[in-house]
Amino acid sequence: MAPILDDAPARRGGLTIADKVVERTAGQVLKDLPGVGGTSSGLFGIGASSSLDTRPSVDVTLSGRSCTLAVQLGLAYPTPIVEATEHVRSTLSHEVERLTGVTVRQVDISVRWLAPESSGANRGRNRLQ
Amino acid sequence: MRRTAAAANRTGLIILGLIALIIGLAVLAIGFGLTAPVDPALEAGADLGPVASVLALPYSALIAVVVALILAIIGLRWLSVQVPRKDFAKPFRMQADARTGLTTVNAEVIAEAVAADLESTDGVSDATVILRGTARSPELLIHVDADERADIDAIIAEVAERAAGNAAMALGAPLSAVALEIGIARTRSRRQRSVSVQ
Repeated sequence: MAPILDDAPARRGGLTIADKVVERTAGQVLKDLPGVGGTSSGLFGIGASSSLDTRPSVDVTLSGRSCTLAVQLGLAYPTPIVEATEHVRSTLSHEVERLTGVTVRQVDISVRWLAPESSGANRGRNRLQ
Repeated sequence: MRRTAAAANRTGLIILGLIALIIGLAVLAIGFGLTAPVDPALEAGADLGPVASVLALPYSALIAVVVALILAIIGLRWLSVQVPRKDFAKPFRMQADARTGLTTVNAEVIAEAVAADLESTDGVSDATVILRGTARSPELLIHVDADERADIDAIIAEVAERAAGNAAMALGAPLSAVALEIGIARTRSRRQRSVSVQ
């Protein structure tokens, strides 16, 4: 006779997701978006560079089972900023929620640089911020 | 391209002029003896004893120091206002719905992108851009250093059609004003080391 499995979630064990997991997940989702980039930090801010190939930085604030994301990113230029950031916001909210189960309430986006997409990088203009 | 302190200077000069005018009128009134009926001490030939006695008070030096400090602060403030400033627009808020999050873009970020866009134009060796106004009514101030052998008409057309068009597309709003200043660069400030061929 096969054992009877207890299917009540509370009795099977708990699942805890750290804010770093949400942060990394959001960063990976952003990295996969075309025309979106970030700024590498460099050593003590020296040698920092902006590129469309770099992962944007994300800060996560958890509150209960939901979170707020603060994103610093760069975009390809020329791109309609409002449309591009709305696409980032909706994709990020949907994917983070799908992958982690944490509801995304708000996504605050700070656009730190704009660079020609053809260059793949910010034409050597390093920005320390 | 830069905003100077013309208005502040005008205001300061008006205030100084009014003070000088009042002092001048007062001296004239004393000189003509018009103030003698009000106070005999204000007669033209009066002894300066009362004035000297005020200056001889123990706290007179302190008052003089305080007045000097105030004048020094006003002078430094005036001097700092004289430095021409760029006056970028405030950070633009560009979200569709604030309830789902805010989108912030500094005016310098857009200005740098427009400048980089302009520097890719043939004959342009350097470009400086200032973005003013608001997200719904942006204004571009452009300074371009062109090569002395460049086709200026082509550069103007390029700025008006491509660069301004790209900026308007990025901002999602038509530009309310575009000001263009062209300088002639006799020496190339930036040497191009590579070219992209597609």
